[in-house]
Amino acid sequence: MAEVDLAEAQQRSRQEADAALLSGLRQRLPEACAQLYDRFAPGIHRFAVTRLGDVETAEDVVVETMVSAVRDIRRFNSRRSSLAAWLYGIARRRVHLELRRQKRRKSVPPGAQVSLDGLSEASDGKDLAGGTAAKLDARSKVQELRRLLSDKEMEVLLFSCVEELSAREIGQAIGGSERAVHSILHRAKKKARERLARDE
Amino acid sequence: MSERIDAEIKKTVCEGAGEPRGEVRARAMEAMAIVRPTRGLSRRLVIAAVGVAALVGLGFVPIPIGKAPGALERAMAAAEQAATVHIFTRIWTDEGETVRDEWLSEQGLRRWENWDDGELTWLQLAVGPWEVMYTPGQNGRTAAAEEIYDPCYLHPADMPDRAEFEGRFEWLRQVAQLFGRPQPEVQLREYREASLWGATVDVVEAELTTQKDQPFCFGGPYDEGTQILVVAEMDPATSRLFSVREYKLEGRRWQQTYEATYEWDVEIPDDLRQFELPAGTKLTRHTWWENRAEQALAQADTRDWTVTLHAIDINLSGDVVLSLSRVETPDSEMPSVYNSAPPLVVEAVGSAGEQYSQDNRFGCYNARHSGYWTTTLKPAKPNSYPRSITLTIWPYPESPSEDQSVTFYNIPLPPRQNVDDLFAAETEVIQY
Repeated sequence: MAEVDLAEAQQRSRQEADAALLSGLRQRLPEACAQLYDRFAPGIHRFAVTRLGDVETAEDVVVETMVSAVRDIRRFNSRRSSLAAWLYGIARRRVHLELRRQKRRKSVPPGAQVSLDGLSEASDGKDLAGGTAAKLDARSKVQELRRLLSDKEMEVLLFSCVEELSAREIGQAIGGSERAVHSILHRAKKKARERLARDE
Repeated sequence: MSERIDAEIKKTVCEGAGEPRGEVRARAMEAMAIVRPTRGLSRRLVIAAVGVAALVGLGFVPIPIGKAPGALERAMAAAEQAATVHIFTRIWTDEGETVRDEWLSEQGLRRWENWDDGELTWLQLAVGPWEVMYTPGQNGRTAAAEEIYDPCYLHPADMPDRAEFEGRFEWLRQVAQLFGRPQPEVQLREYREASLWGATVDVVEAELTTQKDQPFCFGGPYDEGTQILVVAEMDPATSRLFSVREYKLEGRRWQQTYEATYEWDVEIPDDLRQFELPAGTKLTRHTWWENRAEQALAQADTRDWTVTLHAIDINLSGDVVLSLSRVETPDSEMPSVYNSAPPLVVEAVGSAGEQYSQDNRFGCYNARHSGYWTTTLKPAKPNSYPRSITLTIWPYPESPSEDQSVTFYNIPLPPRQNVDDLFAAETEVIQY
């Protein structure tokens, strides 16, 4: 019971924070833009890097998502989706557009585009050698997950496990029902569990 | 267990992805400060935004770099070469947002899902000759599905993609045909644009006012006299279309009503070939052609068609049901008859001179190069029991001509079946 209360309280608090942020964005307040970035850019970046495997393009996705959100903020309807679901929906479309561009270019696989230099730069030079190795190991696991999972499974897994969106929000972001999300998530987790179990 | 996996996946992804660089925040803040929130897309704002963005060098605002004559026609031609296409569409109306996710493949796959505000409202899945159409239960109605065997898809030339690929672009094809002609109601523009980071795109714009008899473009329906802007984008390198957007003018602003993105020749995920019907769904299976398409009681060619008599069935009242098909011969010079072909015309005489009249009721599966039909012959005297029947069939055109007819002589008739509705007897209902 206490857990339910806590979840409800967190959701209420998030809705109140969203409402305040929306009001600021509609008034074009610079601090609202900063808040939007600070709250959502890290998650969108994680999502984009994981899907695209390319740090620089993922950063472009972050900027484009932020700009789209500010430009189209009056289109956002809080009765249809949460702010997070709406933003991840925008980011997802940007990522899909970029994936299509990559396919058209027929370049090297996206995962192979990330260099050690790119990883070091991406962390603002704070990475030591050990940290970079850990990143590469993590990246290699993520790449393997990407190979194992369909695009939709990967997206649902990221939105659920990493960005902690609810099934309803994920459905809003990807254009599917909660039931479909549960089903996709079940499949994705099963595959992920089998893959991660191999490292134990 | 599940929480542990969630945590491990989160740790793995967070370690691998890192944080965006500090300069990204500065870039985003600068861009957000410049962009102006807008409900629609004002033409004036577009011009201003392009100018400002080019000056500040943001890099993600396109810059016109010249004309792109014939871009749309090239895109249409490129589309015809594709083996698969994935079209993801969003339509915005006053009532809400509809999403359509559509896959077509030359390998005999078509999948079409409609979603309204996050709820699946329609699914159609065709794999080879089998097609399932599913409607979820809504407003107290039971979820229902129909499974149909469509024999036209036994013929490679009639796989779902080819005619359907073209169907998805019909409106653009009409626009393409308007280029080069004076059209006071339609303004057309073709140009090439580039962003500062090197991407190039060919853009085709069509601006028009809706007429009474054409309230649709891609979005809509719209009121008569609504001003519409359609923007199609193509990749100059491959000529392939990758997006279509549509706007309607509201006041002085362009309000987006439609967006579709295209992926060509993509690998189709295996799970798209399946759909598990949810519990509670009532499935109706139509197996008539599954049991008859591969049979042939008689076959002959006209100038343009191979006509096959697949089966004869007789009901309790003596009505004769013929299962017939026509498939274009390889050297046929027939124009496309897709969606315009009349039913086959049949004249029938029993072994003792019994007369039959062709009932207008027929079931049809019709594609560009083939057509499968059932047609019912009513006996002039219900109590006659001929041993065989002679059939003269005109596959197409409807008016009889010597080189477009076949005659099958003295085809033995089977015994009457103990039912009146032969089709209902071969329809199966399964409750999930």
